[in-house]
Amino acid sequence: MNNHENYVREATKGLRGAVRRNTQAELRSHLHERTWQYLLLGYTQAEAERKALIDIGDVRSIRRSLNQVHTPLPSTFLFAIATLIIGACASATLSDSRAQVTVLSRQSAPCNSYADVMPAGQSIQGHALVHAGGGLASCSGSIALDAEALSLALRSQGVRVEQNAQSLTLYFPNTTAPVQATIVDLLSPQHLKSKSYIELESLLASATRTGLPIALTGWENPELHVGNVQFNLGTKTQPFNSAELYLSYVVKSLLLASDPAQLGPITTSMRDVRWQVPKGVPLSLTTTSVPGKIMTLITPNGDGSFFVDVAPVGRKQEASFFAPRQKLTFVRDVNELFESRSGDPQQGKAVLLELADGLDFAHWYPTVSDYSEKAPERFRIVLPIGKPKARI
Amino acid sequence: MEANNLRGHLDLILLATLQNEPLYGVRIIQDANTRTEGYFQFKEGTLYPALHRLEKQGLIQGEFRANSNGGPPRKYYKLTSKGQQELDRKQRDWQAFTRAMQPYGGE
Repeated sequence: MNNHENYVREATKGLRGAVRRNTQAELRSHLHERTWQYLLLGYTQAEAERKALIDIGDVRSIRRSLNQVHTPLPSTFLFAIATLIIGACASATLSDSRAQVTVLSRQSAPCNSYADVMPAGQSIQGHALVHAGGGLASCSGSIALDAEALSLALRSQGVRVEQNAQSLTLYFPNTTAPVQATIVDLLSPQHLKSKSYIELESLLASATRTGLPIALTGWENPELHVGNVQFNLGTKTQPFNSAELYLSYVVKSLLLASDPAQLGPITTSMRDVRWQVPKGVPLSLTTTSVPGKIMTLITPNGDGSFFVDVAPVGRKQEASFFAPRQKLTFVRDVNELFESRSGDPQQGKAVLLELADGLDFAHWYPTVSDYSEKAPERFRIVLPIGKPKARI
Repeated sequence: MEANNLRGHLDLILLATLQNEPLYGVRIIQDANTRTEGYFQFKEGTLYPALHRLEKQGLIQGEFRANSNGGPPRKYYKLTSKGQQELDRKQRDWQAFTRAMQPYGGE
């Protein structure tokens, strides 16, 4: 909790008396709430606390905004300050341009899993951060790309890039409207310093609205295609864990299928779907699928929630998952799974799905009608051959 | 969502979110996400300065309540009568704006 307390103190610097105390209490409550929600999702205490910190955002930004509300300055003084800031920024831009090339070290990165962003066939410096954000909205928003590294990767492939404090505007070749990606300043817990990252979700959502095709292929260091541009997430030395990206896709589709009458699955995701948790039983399944395909194992927990895991198919057609139990009965109809989601967990019903090639992220934000029309194209049910083998 | 668009409509979103029942920060974020199908994605920390500003303007009123989960007390915000009037005005403005833009929005 020390990081949370540091954050709360930093964020409320400049506030006085009851305003400061009340704001600190409110921020503590927020961080506690989000941590609690992550714990429900199966994260460890340390991971949950760290993710809550990332979600709340840049401490400098909130401190500045709070001070603007509670300690407004006379307009003449503001003008003088603004002039100074503009001057300082102008000189800082020049002096910082070289420093920004420096690669974040693992120790200073705010998340425990990250990888280099690398355009196809070309190595550049930078990192992608992986964190599961708050709720379904951030399942997909859980991956942040180093803004500078991403800009380099895109520029090298003919994309014009403009950056301001809030967003990256990308002009892809042969498109009429630009793609906008939101910049988020993530906190480095060691130094309370932040660095600009792009929320992958915002990039994908905007590209989708612009009509650019988006696809993801591969497991280790997967290749992301946006229009005619492509880059890998991860390198050999710092591999990218694509499980979270695939999981978020499956989970989002699951939620839409599980309750199509509701168009608001985002908040319910916290309680309804559990993500991969390390406490599960490792299961090795031999499938009828082919090597390289991405599979997802879905089984109800019996309390209305689902246990979901994803894995690639190996050379011997095997796929290794974590599951909540060793005995599973594989079914051919996904609906059967939803019908039994609140039933006896000992029944152990499960479904094994093969994700379509080049996962189409144009349906990253699918509507219910999208789901019913497109679901067969995105998933194919595969049954394991023989009984699952547990490896404990 | 473009940041400028969100900023321009943040007050309307917050006031409308609090119209039905008092809510605290995390719930406000989740409610807005749900209602807009994820279109509006708050940077969570930016919510509080906005709420405090509306509170100072007398449009909403906050009070700490015990947390049923045993955590620290949550600050719930509710719409004041002045806030309701402001919400009505903003909604009228918004409807007039969308009507006026209708011919230019395409199909």
